[in-house]
Order: sequence, then C-alpha cells, then structure tokens
Amino acid sequence: MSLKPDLGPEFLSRLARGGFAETLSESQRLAIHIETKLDEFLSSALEQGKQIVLTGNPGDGKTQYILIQKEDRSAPDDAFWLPDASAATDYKDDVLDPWQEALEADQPGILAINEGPLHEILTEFGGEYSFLTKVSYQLNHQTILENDHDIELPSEDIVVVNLEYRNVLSRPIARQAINKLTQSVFVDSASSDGHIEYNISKLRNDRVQENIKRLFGSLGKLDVHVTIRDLLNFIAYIITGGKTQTVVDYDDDLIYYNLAYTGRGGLFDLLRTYRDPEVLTHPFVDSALWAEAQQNVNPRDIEDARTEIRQEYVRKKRRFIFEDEAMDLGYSSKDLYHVVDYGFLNHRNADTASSEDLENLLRRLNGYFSDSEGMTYELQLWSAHRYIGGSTQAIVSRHSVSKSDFDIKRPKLNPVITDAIEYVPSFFVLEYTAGDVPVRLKIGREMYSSFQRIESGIPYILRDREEEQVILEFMRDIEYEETKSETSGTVTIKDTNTGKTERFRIRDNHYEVD
Amino acid sequence: MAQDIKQLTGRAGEIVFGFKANSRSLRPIHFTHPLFNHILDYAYVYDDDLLDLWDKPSKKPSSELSTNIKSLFDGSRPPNNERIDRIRRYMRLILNNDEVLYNSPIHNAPTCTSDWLVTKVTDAVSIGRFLYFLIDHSDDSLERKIDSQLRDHHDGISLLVRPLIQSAAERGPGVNVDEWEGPEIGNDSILSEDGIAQNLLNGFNRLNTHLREPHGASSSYPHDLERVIRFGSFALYLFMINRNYEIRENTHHNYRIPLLFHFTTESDSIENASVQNVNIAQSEVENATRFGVRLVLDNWGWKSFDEAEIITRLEEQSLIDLNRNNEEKVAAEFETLRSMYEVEPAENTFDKLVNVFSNAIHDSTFNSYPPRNTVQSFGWRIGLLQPRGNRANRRRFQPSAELLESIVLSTIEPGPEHQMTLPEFCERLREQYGIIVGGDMEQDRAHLNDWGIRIGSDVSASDPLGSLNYRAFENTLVDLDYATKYADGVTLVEVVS
Repeated sequence: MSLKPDLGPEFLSRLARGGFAETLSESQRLAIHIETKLDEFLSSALEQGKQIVLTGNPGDGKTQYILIQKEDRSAPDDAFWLPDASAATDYKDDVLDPWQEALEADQPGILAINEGPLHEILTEFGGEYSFLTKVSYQLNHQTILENDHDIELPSEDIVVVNLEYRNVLSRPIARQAINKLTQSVFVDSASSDGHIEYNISKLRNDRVQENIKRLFGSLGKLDVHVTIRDLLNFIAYIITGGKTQTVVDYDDDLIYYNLAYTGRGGLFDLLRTYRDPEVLTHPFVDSALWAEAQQNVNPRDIEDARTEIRQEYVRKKRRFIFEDEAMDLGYSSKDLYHVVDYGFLNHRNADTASSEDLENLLRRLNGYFSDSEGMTYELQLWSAHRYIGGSTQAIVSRHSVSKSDFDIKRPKLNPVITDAIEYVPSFFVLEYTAGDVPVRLKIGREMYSSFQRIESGIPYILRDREEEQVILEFMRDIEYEETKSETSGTVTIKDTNTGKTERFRIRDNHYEVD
Repeated sequence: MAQDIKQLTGRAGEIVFGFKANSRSLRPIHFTHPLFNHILDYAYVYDDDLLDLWDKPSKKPSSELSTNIKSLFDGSRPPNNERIDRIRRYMRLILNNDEVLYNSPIHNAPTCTSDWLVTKVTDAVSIGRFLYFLIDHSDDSLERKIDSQLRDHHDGISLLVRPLIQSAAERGPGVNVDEWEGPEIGNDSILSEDGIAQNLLNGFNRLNTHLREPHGASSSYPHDLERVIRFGSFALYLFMINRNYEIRENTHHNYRIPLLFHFTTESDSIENASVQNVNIAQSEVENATRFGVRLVLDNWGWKSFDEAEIITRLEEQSLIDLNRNNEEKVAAEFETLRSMYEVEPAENTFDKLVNVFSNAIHDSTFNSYPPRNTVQSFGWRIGLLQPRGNRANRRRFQPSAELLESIVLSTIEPGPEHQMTLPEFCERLREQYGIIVGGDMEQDRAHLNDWGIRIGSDVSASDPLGSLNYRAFENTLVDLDYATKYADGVTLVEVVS
C-alpha cells in the first residue's frame, strides 16, 4: 500500500491524532507542507537580512515553516533559528540573550513562539531588552483600520507575523491540504479496497472536493480561529478514522462523511455546531432522504423503527452534504447552509465606504431605537441612567450627530505583512471622527443581523440587552465628545418595555409639545 | 417604655457598623442623594407643585396640577390634560429608573445625573456619610470629578427637567452635612492597613483613575457617577460582612470572609458552595449585630436586671415596646419572648437576655428588620447575589456585568503598564476583597477551608473551581473586553485607557 517507507497509513493516522512538525521526518514534512504566500514572504525577508517573529496558536505551523526555510537555505548556520521559544525554561538565557546577539550581529532568522509566552516575555522583559518595544508595537498592530494614518509602519529589521490572523479555510489552502494527503502520501488507491482507499478515492472526486472547499469557506467566515493542524487532523481523520491500517470489511462508521462528524478537534467542533445535517433543513431534500431511509430500513412497523430510520436518514444527509451531485436530488448541498448576507459583506468588503453605505448603516442603527423609519443623515444618540443593577425602564435621547462626523472603516492587515498571510476580517467599524479621540463601534455579523431583524419588524422589546448596552456605550462616549446646548433641545424618551416613544422640545425653560 | 425593639435593632447596627442598616427597601439611590449632598454641600428643594407633577397621573391627574406647572407646557395649541399626563408618564419612567420616585418630600429619590436632581433624602443618610468618608479619604481628584460632573447640566436627563427646576425648585441645605462618626466599636482602627475600609478606599482610588476629567465646557459623562455608586454599593456590602471578623478579638480565622463568585453553569458544587458562602456572610452580619445588641442592652442598664425582674416585666409586657398596636399580637409576642427566655441555655442572666433579643430581632415574628436581612436583599438589588432558580433564600455570589465592571475598575488601573496575568488579577481580587474565582487553587482552597467552605469534585470536573469556574470567569472578562486569551493558556487582563 505505502509507496514510501514513512508515508504509510500509520503516518496519516498520526496526523489524525495531531502530529508535531519537530517529530516528523524530512519527507513527511515535505509531504504535508502547504505552500502559501508565507513561504515566499519568509524567503524574501530572510534574503533581506530581516528577523521574523512567527507567533500564533499551537498548530499554526510555525515550527514547520522554520524547518522548511532552514532546509531551503544554502547556509543555514549563518542565520538565527529558534523553532520553539515557547518551550524555553529560561526566557533570558534560552531566548532573549541569543536573540539579542543575533540582532547585534545583523543575522537574519526566524523565531517561533506561541502568542501567550510572547506576551509574557513582553510584559516581563519589555524594559530590559529594547528590541522588544518594536516586537510589542508590531504585535499590537497586526491589523489596522483603513485610512488610519496615525499608525506608524513597523521598523524594518524585525517583522512580527501573527498566524492567528491567517484564514486557513481558504479554497487554495483547503485544496492543497486535500491533495497533499490524498496524492502525495498515498498514490496507489487501486491496490486495495479497504476504507482508507475508499475514502481517498472519494476525496479525489472533484465534486466532493468542491463541496468540502465550500463548506470550509463558509466556516472560515465565522469568527473562530482554525489552525493548519486542525485542518490536517480533519482530513487525515476522515481518510483513516484514526486506524493505522486499512480495514477491508468496514461498516458505514468508517466512511469519510460519517467520520467528519465524529472526530475530535477544532474543525470537527465547528462542523458539528454550524453544519449539523439534522439542524440544516430543506423541505424537499429532507423528505426525499427520509423516504429513502424508510425504504432502506423497510420496517414492518414504522413507529418501532423510527430510531433506525432516523439514523439512516442522518447518514444519507451527511452523504448529501458531500455527494449531492451523485445522489441526484435536484438540489445542491450548499442550499442547506448558504445564506449570503449581502448587506454585511458589502460593508465589510467594499474598498472604500461610499456615502450611501454610511447612510444605510446610520439608518439601520437609528432604526434599532426608533419606531419610525431611521434617519440617514444623522445618528440619534440614546442614553440610560440607573444606579440599581439590571436594565433600565426607559432611555432618553437629546442629541443627534451629523453623518459627516462618521466614517466606516474596515480592518486590514498592516501593509508590512500583507504579503505574508490571507486575512478575512469578521467585522467592520463605525467610527466617530469629530472628537479628540476616535470612538468606535465594532459591527460583526451578529450585530448587523440584529439591525436587519429589527428593520424587518422584529419588535424592539425582543432585542439582545447586552448588545444594546454595547451600542449605548458607543453613544455615551460620543456624547462626551460632543458640544451641545444646555438650555434647549429635543428630548425623546423611549419606554424599553413597550418600545414606544414620546418626544418634545425644550426651549426658554418651557416644553413645546406637538 | 422608652426602649423599643426597632430602636434596639437600629442601635445595635449603628454601634458595630457606624450607620443604620435596617431598611427593608434600601436601594443605592437612597444613599446616592446624601452622598452627593455631602460632595456638593447643598441639595435642591422641590415645590409641592413639582412633586405633584412627578406623582402618578392616575393618582394626581393633570387637571389637578397647579397652573404654574401646567403653564410650562405649550405648543402650537396648548396641550390638553391627557397629553400632559402622557408626557408625565414618560418622565416618570426616566426619573424612576431606580424605582424610588414617590410623591414624598422625605422618601422621594429620583435618579440623578446632576445636582438638580439631588434632593434631601433622609433615608440612608449615615450610609451616605460612610461612603463620603471613603471618598473624602481617597485621592482629592475623585471628589472633584464627581462634583464637576454633578454641576454639569448638558446630559439629556438634566435638560429634561430644566424647565421644572427653574420654575419649581431651588437650592437648599439638604441633609446635615456631617462627618461620618464611624462605628462605636473599632473606630480607631477603621483605616488600619489590612482593614477592609482601607482596601475599599484603595478601590476608590483605582476606580478614580478610570473616571473622566471634565474637558471643555460642554462635556458630560454621568456614567461615571453610576460607576462610583455601583462600587459604593459593593463597598457597603463588603464592609458589613467583614465587620464581625474585624471587631472580634478571637475570630479563629486567618483570612477575611471569602466571596466565592459563581461563574460556571456546569458545576453544582461551586453553586452549592457559593450559596453556603452567602449564608456564612449573612451570619457574620448577624453575629456582628449580636455584639451590638449586647452593648445596647448594657447601655440601657439591663445588666442589672435579675431573673425575677425580667420574668415580671415580660409578664407585664413592659420590658420593651414591640411597636405593635394590636393587643393580642403584643400578648402573643411577649409570650414568645418569655418562652425563648426560659429555654435559653446560657447561665448568666444578662447573657440570656442578649441571646434572647439577638434571636428575636432576627426572627420574622418580631417584624424587626435586622442588618442581616438588609445585606440579603441589598446584595440581590445591586446585582451581587443571584437567586438559584426562583428561590430567594438560595442566593449565590454572581455579579452582574455592570457591577463586575466597577469591581474590575477598582482593582486594576488603566493602560498597558498595569497589565497583569489572570492569576495575578485573581490574587489581587482575593487579597483586596476576598473574592475567589479559582485563580490559585492552593490559596483559594486554604481561604475557603478557613471558613468551612468545601468544594467537592462533581460529575463534570474533579476540580470545578480551578477549571470550570476559573475558565468561565476568564470568558466573562474576555466578553467584557477586559482580558485577552492567548495560546498556551496565557490570559492577560488590561483596561484600555
């Protein structure tokens, strides 16, 4: 079965349980190395004599990148390599002193360290090693808001790349991961008919691959970090089921679409939470699959066999997620979960915010509190005041801020690391720009959906109170920056239990009532 | 009979706590008014016309309002009474956000964002003085910031009441602005280095570093007032539950009373232990009050009573006034007192009296609302205690997000230079306030064991405090944006300046 001595099913099984780069042989490392723009970025930075700090979570592939770069380099001993500074027992002796020496000797190099230990080092030794100031600055400015001109570009000799910001569920990375584990490792699937060969042959199918990439793409939009190790674990597990040898007489549990829902790890958890076939419903697909399941089980009494039918139905639905075309139900599996939130994506993805985008957003934000159609040219500010715990009976508004005092901004990678990783922001920002300091409201998918829900008629009283507090906090901070009249203005009071409002003007120490 | 049972309860509390703390309905807004009154040196006095306007329209319809007040409402055509009633209902919602808007010059306590709404509230004056004592002894800039915010009238609520204040209120003396006299017991060491009052004072100092300076002529940030009062509410609770530990000579405890914060939803054992902890905290208040009862009865000269005199006075119903008008109830309660006295095991006559009356004021039969009951309901009102299910007597420490914000801000100063790891932060919470979340298992266990609070393993985890509860607390801080989780289990706590 295995063509290379150390790339057999045992290796895949090890990956399925979580393999570490430092424990892999050179051929194993090469076999699973997924080339991304980071390879080119690192080579180029080393050529320019820079030192790179690779940080992130365990499993992000930091050590792998160091080992690959070291192997590629003609004179590796001229450079400074520290593949796992997180494991150091003495940060001064094992990490900081050698690092400082390398910097003083103008040596290029790469240091890999998990983000937690890096923060610990910065907190504990920041004052002692001057170069840590640069590291700290860059670590805190991996992403910037567009048009944020105050952000100073990092210095040239040290570059920090935090792989926490990398989206590994992008199509190119997913494609490579599948190909690496189904082709580079096992190239001869015809020699046996065990479960591993079956799963590999399925994963090589174009349609199945397309569905996996689409599934990953949709999960990649969630605000949850997935590591390269999670990705490789997932694919290795759905091929092997953790078995070190192929099983010839296997049952359904070892088929990849069932394994995808039974493994342990970050990506499995995401799949179970957000793409559970039992939760993703479709009237036509579900009824067809249920009918098939019933026919397959063929019970004498349907009530007695309900559990059995349900299990068969779930297996079929899982299969449909990956093999929709082969099952020929007239629908695509993406119909089960593919909801495009155009409004949010438009705000998040547009190169520059148009005046129309801003008006749209202000209208939605105004609509959150107002029972009439939201204004587009200004943002009405609301506040609440209460010394007792819990939410308020009423909120009050006395002030609006012009549209011209706001801007929509999107986070983007710091230009210095744009060429290093792929980044998909999970939010955009509404920024109040007219004060001494910017005041920002971070708007993610969930908050944007709330705006839409309220706009589409969901009553205000069903709002998420914590989310409302976040918005009120934003408004409170703006109000602090604003200059407003002490003697006159329009006051609106909103009853938070009924959602109804009352409005009147105050002028010359009188209430003007409509 | 000059001495009555409510007087006994009130005085007992005053002696050990330094303030009256026997109000069934104590809310933060009650002491907010006298506290702000002390900071400002004045309060506002409202005309009856204005109080009528703030009364419920159903009780005082607009048709019965004074013409002076009604003339404040105009428009393209004068609004009718129904319209004014509607406006009044909405105004009440705002002013009654703290649920103490009554049509009473004494008990009326509207929410306040500026001095215009600070009025003479005679409830909880001594508590207001206690909090003012802490603020007065902390950094000068704290009082200045509060004063400056109160004199600012740019916020929406101040604008809302402006015509009313200009027309029907004027600056007046408010309550007597006096220094807090402190408790009669242990007052000399009230600000001792390791005392809870000193820790609370330090908390106010740290909180102050987060409060905004007035900038420009128009800026207003009444949210800081909320933060001060929320922390003040927590300070009051903490001061009371720590009092017994601080005034007793032989406490047999190495640590101050813990507050086991229950954050995880996955462990019954943490929840049970926290419920037990709340009960212990309340017992501590009860024990401190018992100490006060002894001193009050001694001051009343009851030490000289012999057995026969006590029995006679109980039979004649002349030992103490029970504040009852119903003769049958008076007779029944004296009978109860007599039974309690007869079964009381103490040998010394005075000890028996002390025990009987300590038990009596904590017994619901006598309708005396002791400090123990005050901390119980107050702790829930300020968002520190949450009931278990709908059982009011099964409360555990689980702070609301708003209260936790104030506690965090009183524990760590703003800016990256004050950043600390989560275990360091937890240890500071424990040292400063006795709060336990599971940050240091050895210390936390020792602290809890010292008070007989034990957390067993449960089905979800062998060490639910150090794992489940600690992680849940960590997640709460992350959600509130006060902490960031990094790889390798490192979590850093920082309040962005």
